[in-house]
Amino acid sequence: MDSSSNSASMHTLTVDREPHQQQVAAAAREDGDETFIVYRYRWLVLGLFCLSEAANAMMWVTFSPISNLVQDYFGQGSYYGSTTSVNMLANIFLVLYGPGTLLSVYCMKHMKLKSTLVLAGSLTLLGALIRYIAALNNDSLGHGNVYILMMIGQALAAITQPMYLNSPPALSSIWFAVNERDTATTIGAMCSPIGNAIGQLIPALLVSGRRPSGECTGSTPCHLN
Amino acid sequence: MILIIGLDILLDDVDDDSQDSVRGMPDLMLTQLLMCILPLVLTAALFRDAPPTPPSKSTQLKNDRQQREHDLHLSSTGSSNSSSDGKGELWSQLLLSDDLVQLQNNKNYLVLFCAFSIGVGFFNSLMTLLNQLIAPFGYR
Repeated sequence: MDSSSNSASMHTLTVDREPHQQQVAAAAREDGDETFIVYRYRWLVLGLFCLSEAANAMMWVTFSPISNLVQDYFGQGSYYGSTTSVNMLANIFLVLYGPGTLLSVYCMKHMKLKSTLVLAGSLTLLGALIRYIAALNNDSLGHGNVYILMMIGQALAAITQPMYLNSPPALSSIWFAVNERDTATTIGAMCSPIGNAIGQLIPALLVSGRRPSGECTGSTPCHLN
Repeated sequence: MILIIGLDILLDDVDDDSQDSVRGMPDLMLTQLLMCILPLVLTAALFRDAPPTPPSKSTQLKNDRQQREHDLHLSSTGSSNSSSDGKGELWSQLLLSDDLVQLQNNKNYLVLFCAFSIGVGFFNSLMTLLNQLIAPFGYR
């Protein structure tokens, strides 16, 4: 940063001085005597960000599309199998949005973007791991402990969600030219709903119940049982 | 999609010993675990903090300003800041108090704020409750 500011004040070009030769300059912009470069690498950066964000958003709606099956899983009629308890597994993302925003502001102030994203991804991964372990040991742990472990896993993913949702403007201002920033921010922000959509699809494909299918349809709704 | 179906076939034996009425929960958790690992590994390997040359004048100016603030902060931390001052500064940073005061006087922002709140609220609640809304009509 020092070298670029010095050279800018001396009206010299600052192209390819740094040792990143493999990066291809897609477009060079002349602005007075200074040159600004928009790298093709920016799309890869944006794509990586989108993947991480979609993975995090997918965790949010894990239990929503199969909420009646999750109720069966925790025991229909018990405390952990109630509608409210199952909905709280998704609502924890909204409850922890405020504390997570404070954390994300702190991280973006004191850490680089990559460290922030790796930290967020690690916490999400830890949450997913805890949920997997809980689901594997369902028989030995009991419904209450499994529910609490699932909630901890969801909470770990939830606390990192604002790091993803608040990052797209920062990312696009660092990597993209002024006229591309809106597009980049939009793409970055749209990946959260796309991740939600994928997250709505996957659980329904993988989880199935053993109930006869006709039991809950029509005039005897399942959610009233 | 192929990955998911493949996983489903591979892992069918995992939950056969479970006596519960719901099958496939470990498969689901493992699928999502793997889908979290992939972006993390790729991000750790390929992500870069910033391009070697900034893409625009405004980014360069912002970088310079941040560098100056950083230097100023480094030079001032050793001398006078007590811990309570640091804490107050941290909270004002976290809560973005200056920006929030400015935004409260911005009418356009307030209109946008209300509109977005309603939209995002509806989206989030629909996303969470979709299954419970359509389950009575036979979609399961």
